[in-house]
Amino acid sequence: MRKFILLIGLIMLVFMPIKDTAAFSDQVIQQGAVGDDVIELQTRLKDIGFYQGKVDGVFGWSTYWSVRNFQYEFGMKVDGLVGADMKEKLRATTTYKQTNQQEETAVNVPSGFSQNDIKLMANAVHGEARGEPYEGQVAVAAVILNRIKDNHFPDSISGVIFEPRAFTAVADGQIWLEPNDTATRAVLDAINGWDPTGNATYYFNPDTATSPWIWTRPQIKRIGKHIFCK
Amino acid sequence: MIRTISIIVLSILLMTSIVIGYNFYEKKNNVQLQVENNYQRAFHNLVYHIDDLHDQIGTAIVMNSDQGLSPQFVDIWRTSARAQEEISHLPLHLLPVQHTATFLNDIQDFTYATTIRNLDDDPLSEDELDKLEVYFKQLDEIKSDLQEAQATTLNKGLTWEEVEIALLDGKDNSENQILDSFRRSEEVMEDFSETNQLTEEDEKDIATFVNGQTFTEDKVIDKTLDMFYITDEAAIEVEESLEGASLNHYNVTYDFEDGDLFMDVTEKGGLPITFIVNRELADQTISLNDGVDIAQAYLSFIGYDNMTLFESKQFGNEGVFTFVYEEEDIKILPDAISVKVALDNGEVIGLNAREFLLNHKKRQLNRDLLSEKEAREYVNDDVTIEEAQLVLTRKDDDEVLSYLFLARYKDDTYEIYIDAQNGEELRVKRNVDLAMSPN
Repeated sequence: MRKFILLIGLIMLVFMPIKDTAAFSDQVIQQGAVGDDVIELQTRLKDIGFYQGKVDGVFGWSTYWSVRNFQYEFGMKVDGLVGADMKEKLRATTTYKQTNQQEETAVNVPSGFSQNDIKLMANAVHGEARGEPYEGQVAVAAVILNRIKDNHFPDSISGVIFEPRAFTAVADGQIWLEPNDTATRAVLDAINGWDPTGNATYYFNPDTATSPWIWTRPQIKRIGKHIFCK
Repeated sequence: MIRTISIIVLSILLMTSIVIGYNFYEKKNNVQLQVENNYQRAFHNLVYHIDDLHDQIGTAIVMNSDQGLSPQFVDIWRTSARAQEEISHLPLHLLPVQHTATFLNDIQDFTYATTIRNLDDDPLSEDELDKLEVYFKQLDEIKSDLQEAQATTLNKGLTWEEVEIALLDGKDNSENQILDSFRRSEEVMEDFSETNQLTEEDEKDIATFVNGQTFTEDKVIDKTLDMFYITDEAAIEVEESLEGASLNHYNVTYDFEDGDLFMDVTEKGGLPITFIVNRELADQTISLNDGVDIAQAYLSFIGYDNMTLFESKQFGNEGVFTFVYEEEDIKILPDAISVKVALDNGEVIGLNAREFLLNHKKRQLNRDLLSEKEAREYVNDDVTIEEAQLVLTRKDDDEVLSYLFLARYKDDTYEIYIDAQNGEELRVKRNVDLAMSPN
C-alpha cells in the first residue's frame, strides 16, 4: 500500500511540471472570453509589464489594449487575438506558475448593468414567473427593460420594480425568494436584446386580473399564463 | 381547589393573549401608518409640484428676456420631472394615469429642447408660445382637481389605503374622491393629448425587408422542423400574434427532453425574428473564437451574408455575438443580428434578428465625407485614438455616417462618434470593463 502511494506521488511529480508549462489550451483567446486561459494571459502580461489591471479572468478592454501593445512591441500582427504565435512569445518571455488553488474567475456582465441590477431583476422574474416556461421568464425581464425605456415609467430598474402595485411579487413579498439559475439566465438573455414580447410594457394573468382597464390595452401575444400588451 | 387553580391559570392565559394580540395589532397599525404616510407625502408633493409648475410656466409666458427664459425652462424641466417621479410613488398602477404622464413628459421634452437651443439666435416661435399657453391652461385644471382631492384628504381624513382597496376591488367606478379627481384630470389630459396628437397610435412597424408570401401555420411548422432537425411534428405548437403586435408573427414553442425552444417567425416571408433554445449546458469545449466562426457560418447558412462581427462576449458557457451588416466597408450599426452559441457542443442556441428585420433596406450612402484625418481633429486632444472605422449610426430618427473612434483616456476606453459630414460629436460612450464575481 505504501508503495502504491509513493507511486502516485511519483506520477504526480512527473506530471505537475508538464501541466505548468503547457497550461494554455489550444484555443485562440479573444476579447469577451473568460476562464483559465485569460487568467494565464493576464498574469503573463502583468509579469512583463504590459498589463496593469486586475487578474480576474475576463478579457475586457484593458486586456485587449495590452495584447495589442504586446503584439506591436514584438513585431507581430496587431489584431488583439491571442493565437499560437503569441502564446509562444508569451511563454518565452514570461513565467507563469499555475497555483493549485482554484482561482476565482469573474464573469462578464452586459454593459450598462451592475451585478446587483441583474440580481434584483432575477429576483423579480423569479417572483413573478417562476412557474412559467423559459420564454415567459425572458418576457417578464424584457417588460421591465421596456418600461425603463418608456417615458411613462421610472427610468431605473429599481424604480420600475418597486413602483407601488406594479408587480404582484413585490406587493406580496415573493420577490425576496432566492432566484434560481434559470431566472438569472432569462435576465441576461433579455439584457442581451432578446424580447419575446415585441416591446410590451404590460402583462397580466387573464384568470386573476382585477382591473378592467388592463383589458383595454392592445394585446401582443400570449406566453404561458400571461397576456403581454402595450 | 382545582377549580380555583384552573381559573387563575386560564385568566393568566387570557391576559397574556390579550397583551400579545394588542402588541401585534399595534405593530401592524404602525406599519400601515408608515405606508400611508409615504403615500401622503408623495401625493402632497405632487400637488405642490403641479402648483409650482403652473406658476413657473405662467412666469415664462410673460418673460421677455432670453437670459431669463433659459434658466426658467431649466426650472420647469426639473419640476415636471419631479412631479412625474411622485406619480410613480403612488399606488396608481392600475389606474390609467397615462395621459397625465404623457403630458408631463411633453413639457419635459419641450423645455429640454428649448433650453439647449441658443434662444438669442433662435427665439421662441409663435407656435411655441401658444404651446406654453396650452400647458398653462391644462395645468390650471389639473391643479384645481388635485387641490380638491387634497382638501378632501385633509378635511375628511380620506386615506390612500382606501384608494388602494378601491383599486384592488377591481371596480373601476368605485366611489372614492381621490380617484375621482385623478380620473377627472385624466379626462382633461385625454382631450389635450388628442388635440396635440400625443396619443400613441398602435403603429405597425415598417419593415421593408419583411415581405414575400404569407406563411400558414403548417408552413411555419415545416420550417421549424427543418431549422432544428426535429422529427416530432406533433410536439410543435404554433400560435398567431394578437392585434397589438407591431410586426405580425407566429410564436412557435417546442418542448424536448432536455429543455425547450421558442421562436418568433414573421407572418410575411416566414423569417425567424428571435429564437432561443433553452437547455442545460455541459462543460466548455469550444473557444469563444471558434464560436464566432460557427455564428458567422450559421448566419450565411440562413441567408444573411455580408455580416461582420461587432461584439462578442462569453456568459457562462455560452457565447453571445453581435454582427452588423457591412456595405462598402461601412458597418451599418442599426442592421444588427445577435447569435448565441453553446460552447459545450457548438450548437447555435439563440438568434435575435429583430433590429435587422426592422431596419435593413437598400441605402444610398453618400461618400462625400470628411477624411478620417479631418474627423480626428474633432476629437478631444486629451484622448489617445486607437482605432477608427466608418459606421452608419442613428441620430434621433435619421441615419448618419460617422467615424467611430475607439479611444483611451487614463484607464478607460471610449467610443466616440463623429459625424462624417460635418464633424459634429454625435455621441461619446464610456466602455467599462464590467466584470462581476461569481457567487
